Amino acid sequence: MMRAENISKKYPRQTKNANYFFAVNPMSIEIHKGSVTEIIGRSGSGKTTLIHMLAGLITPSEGKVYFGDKDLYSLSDSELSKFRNQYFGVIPQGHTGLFSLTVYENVLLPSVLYKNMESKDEEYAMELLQMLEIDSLAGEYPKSLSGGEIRRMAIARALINRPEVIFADEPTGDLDDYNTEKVLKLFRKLADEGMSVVMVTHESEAKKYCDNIYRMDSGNIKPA
Amino acid sequence: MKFRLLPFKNIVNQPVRSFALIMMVMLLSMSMLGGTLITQSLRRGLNSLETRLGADVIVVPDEAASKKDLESILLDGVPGYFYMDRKYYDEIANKEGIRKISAQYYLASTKAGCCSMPIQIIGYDPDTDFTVTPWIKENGADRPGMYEIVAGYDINSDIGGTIRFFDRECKVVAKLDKTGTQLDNAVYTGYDTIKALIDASKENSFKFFSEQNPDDIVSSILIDVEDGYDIQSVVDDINVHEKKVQAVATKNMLSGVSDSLGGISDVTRILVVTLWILILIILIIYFSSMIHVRRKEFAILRVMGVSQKMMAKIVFMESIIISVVGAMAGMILTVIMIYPFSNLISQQTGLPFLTPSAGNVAVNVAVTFLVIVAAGTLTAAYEALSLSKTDAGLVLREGN
Repeated sequence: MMRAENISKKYPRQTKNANYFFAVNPMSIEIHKGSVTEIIGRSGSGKTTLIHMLAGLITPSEGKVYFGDKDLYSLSDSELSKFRNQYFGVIPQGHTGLFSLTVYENVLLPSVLYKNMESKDEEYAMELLQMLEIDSLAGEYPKSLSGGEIRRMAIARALINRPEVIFADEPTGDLDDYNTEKVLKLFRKLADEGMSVVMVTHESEAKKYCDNIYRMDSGNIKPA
Repeated sequence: MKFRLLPFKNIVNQPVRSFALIMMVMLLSMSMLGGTLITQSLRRGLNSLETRLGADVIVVPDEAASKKDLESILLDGVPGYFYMDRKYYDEIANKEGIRKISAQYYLASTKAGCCSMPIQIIGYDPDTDFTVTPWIKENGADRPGMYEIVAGYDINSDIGGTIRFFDRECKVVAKLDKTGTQLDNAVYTGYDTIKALIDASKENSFKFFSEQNPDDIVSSILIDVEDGYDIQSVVDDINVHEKKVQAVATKNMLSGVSDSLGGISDVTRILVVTLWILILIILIIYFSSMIHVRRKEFAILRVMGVSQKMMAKIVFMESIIISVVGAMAGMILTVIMIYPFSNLISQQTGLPFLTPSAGNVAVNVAVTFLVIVAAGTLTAAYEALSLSKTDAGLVLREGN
């Protein structure tokens, strides 16, 4: 369904032998439909850079990323942005609330970027908020929410367009055990329904919900 | 929920940021429009004063001491009265190079019903006059009869209204166009009315008018020099041959005003340009820091699928709204501050201040508006350009 071929990312920085360093060394990976893939590794090992390259958010220095037969980085910015909106859901690390919008509007926003809002979007947004138990906060602005609540809002926002692939960067980082399990179960359920999930996590509990686990170390990847 | 409403929500729901930006744009538009209007008003005031005086030469008695007395009547609005024998009028009228000549008689009033301060009553002869009649507005009578007056633009009475001087009701039969000087607070009338008012003042114990009669004396003699004659020669001729009076070329009399005006205009221009540069720099710095603060917000939008073009539209719309609101607020404030207080500005600066016509103001407003909105748009373009150069993923990594 999705594959990366010999992708790498290097950044300009003075090192011993070169004027740059590799955040991700040349590598290939395949994401299967309906699978949950976990990427683990120490901080700075290149996990976030990898999933951002897969999600079309960081242009690889070398290599290609395919979704089906489509080479993501051969698309124009407008095409890639629309493609990401329709097929990918991205949950970035940290607090990612848009502070001018309510929780409900934050969740709905991706659904109105390329079309007018439909009633099924509104219903699905409320369903997601209920599923993540933040429906009572729908009218609140992110500044009045806790880290865990903002994180669950970001998860709902990534799911609103019913994407084919979810890229989640430490999706359970701010969550308590109860909500961590709830989110991991939700990912598993969605994968069983055909969605693919790629997540970076330090969560030891996650492995029981995953189909594939990779470890990254100094920009290199190998099955864990 | 509509995506196109996002710029409005960004502005409304970030009130401190939006207010600061709007205030800055407002200052920019105020400095631009205000500086332009003040400079134009001062220039227009001087031109109007020169035209309005109408005379090439003014002759006043030596007791007027210097041109300062005349300037103070015209510009500072201090009512004054100085007189010379009417024989000078007849003597000067026979000199060479004189095309038109007319005398005026200055009479100061006490508080009249219309005004909160003493005003200047000027007697003139409609038969010889060439400085007042041309400025009578449409529908006004050009020959005031007994107890009839021609009122300056700022006199608070319309045609048909009455003003009480020394216990006598005087009817306003004409109004004059605006000059931007204190001539706008003067009233003009024929010599018969002046005589009647002097009598009335005697009845009311204003003793300082007791010996004055416009049949025997005048305050100033206004001269229009024949084409082909040198104005300075006419002035010199009068000053050499006529004792106890002084002739002044109007241009020279206004040179002091013109110098002050030039100085003020230059200072205003330098201030406006300095303020402009300063505010533009602050605006660019502010926008640049705003880019940094909002980098993550924009990266989150990119993550959702917002393209660079859509991002540019959001930033562009926000800038347009802020520019339009700021520019409008600044321009409205400027007009509110300058127009009602134009008389006060004239009094405080001692300079003629004649605000531009509505059409001229509209052009200035349009130019200011376009420049301000263009400045906002260019800053937005700069912002959008710098944003589009960085991968969203890299920006997201910065914050973590």
